[in-house]
Amino acid sequence: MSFIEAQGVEFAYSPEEDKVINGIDLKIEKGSYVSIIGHNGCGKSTLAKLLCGILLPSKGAIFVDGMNTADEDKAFDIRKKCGMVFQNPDNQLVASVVEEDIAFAPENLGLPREEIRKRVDAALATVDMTEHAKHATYKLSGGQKQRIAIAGILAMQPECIVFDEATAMLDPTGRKEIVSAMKRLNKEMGMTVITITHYMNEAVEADRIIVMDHGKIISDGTPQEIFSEVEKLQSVSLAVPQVTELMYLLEKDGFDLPRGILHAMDAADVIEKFMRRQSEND
Amino acid sequence: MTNALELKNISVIYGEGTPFRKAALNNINTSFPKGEITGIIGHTGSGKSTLASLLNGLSKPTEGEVLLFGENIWAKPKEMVKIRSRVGLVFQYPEYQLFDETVESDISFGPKNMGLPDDEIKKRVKLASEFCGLSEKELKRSPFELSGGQKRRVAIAGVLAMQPEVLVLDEPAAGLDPKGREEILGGLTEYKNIYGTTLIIISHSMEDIANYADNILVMKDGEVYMQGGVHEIFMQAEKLFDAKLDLPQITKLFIELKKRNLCENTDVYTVGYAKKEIEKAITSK
Repeated sequence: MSFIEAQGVEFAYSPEEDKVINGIDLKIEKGSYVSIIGHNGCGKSTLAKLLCGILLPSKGAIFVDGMNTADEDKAFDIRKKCGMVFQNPDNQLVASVVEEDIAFAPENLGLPREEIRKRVDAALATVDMTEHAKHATYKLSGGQKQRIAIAGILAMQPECIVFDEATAMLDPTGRKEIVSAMKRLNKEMGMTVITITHYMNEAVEADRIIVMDHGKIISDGTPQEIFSEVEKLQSVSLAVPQVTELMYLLEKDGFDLPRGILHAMDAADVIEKFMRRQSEND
Repeated sequence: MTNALELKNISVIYGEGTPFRKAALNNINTSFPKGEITGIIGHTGSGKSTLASLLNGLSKPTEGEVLLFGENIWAKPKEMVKIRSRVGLVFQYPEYQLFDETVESDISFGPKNMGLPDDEIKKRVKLASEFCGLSEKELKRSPFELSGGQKRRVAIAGVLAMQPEVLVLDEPAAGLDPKGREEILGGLTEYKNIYGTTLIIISHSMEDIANYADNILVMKDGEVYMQGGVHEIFMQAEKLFDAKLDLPQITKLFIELKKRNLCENTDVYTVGYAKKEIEKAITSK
């Protein structure tokens, strides 16, 4: 069984309402870096909450490391395995001093003092905030607050973190800070990272992208595969990165250029090659 | 060119006389031209939102003057209500401020408080909801049944219905999907083009600013760091990076192409224009 597995999952917030999740089967392997994209109201945040057991499916089942999220006895074990970072940094900090905020979860786990100290220091180091340990949380920038929120989850030593639009309220530098933290957690610490985002430039950093529409998964693949299908994405109100769109439009106009280009540097390489080839042919 | 709003020697200082004294804004001098869209960009904590709250007199500067079409808005503090209907302010995440039973009555709240007659209110609600992309059907619903993107539209329509001369929006498109962003920003631009309203938009999205703004004001550490036309600002990549900002992705591509001697022009901010430039470069080689 995969680390996270959803089997025929459906969900509605109340029986009278329409289903928000409409039949999802999904496997997420341990140590993977997955990005979920989709327009507002497509059900991606709901799915994220289902995956960490904050919400329970109306139909079907979700397993985290083999444990059914509907199993009440396992609720705490599942929360320890799978943490979540939300959109608004101001809603997630509970203490007025950075290190106290990070200690909140391990204190609640009833861990001994030394162990808490160790975990707090390690978590601070991971998000590169050690020098802010004694600072007041309310004086930090948005990006710094989000990093503290991440550290708070790291202190619980989860195996998976779900980021629900965790960069939406940040400036470009704050966004870069969080994305590089995600990458580090995944590549260096082997943590499973699931990120929900509207920023396509962020989604391309993942190893796998899942596209949702009307509570269903409509595409699932590598960033190159997903962003090659520009029209399909546009049909579900999504955009592609600017350079991807540019290359797609040029290709459609008859220029022999590859699809699924995601980064400015790659686009520059491809255009350079194309122009060279052309001047040789002339 | 007339300026809708002008800021003269503005400073805002929090905690004056205490050890926590902090200048949120420091000697700001700037202006917002009438009938144009000015984009405000800057890192978190650079003072953008503090600046926005000064523009309709929501907060008072410690020093300096805010001029609305040449008049100091603090000259007659008792008439501030009038100023607030002339300068509309849409906060970050305005959907949290919806309160009424139906979308229609929520949007009517502002014009009602202005003491307008019922038929005028109706007309304004209809107009504002059209520009914000809300249908007749949605007007009858409870705002709390709507999706996040639609709630946002309701909140913006509520301010638009007051038909302010200046509309200040703090991150109007944050958290919306690409189509939602386009609809809201496009709708506002269209409204501005018809009614000559002055728009001031705060955003973290360089792509959105490049697509919609006429002028850009760049804030850094409580000061005006740069100000000018879109091209003028995005030409200065290094300076933007220093202010913890970024360039649109497409502009980065053209800077790289220029480095490699493949393309001359680097003031490219939109995909449509980029396509023309590449085609030109390919055919000219």
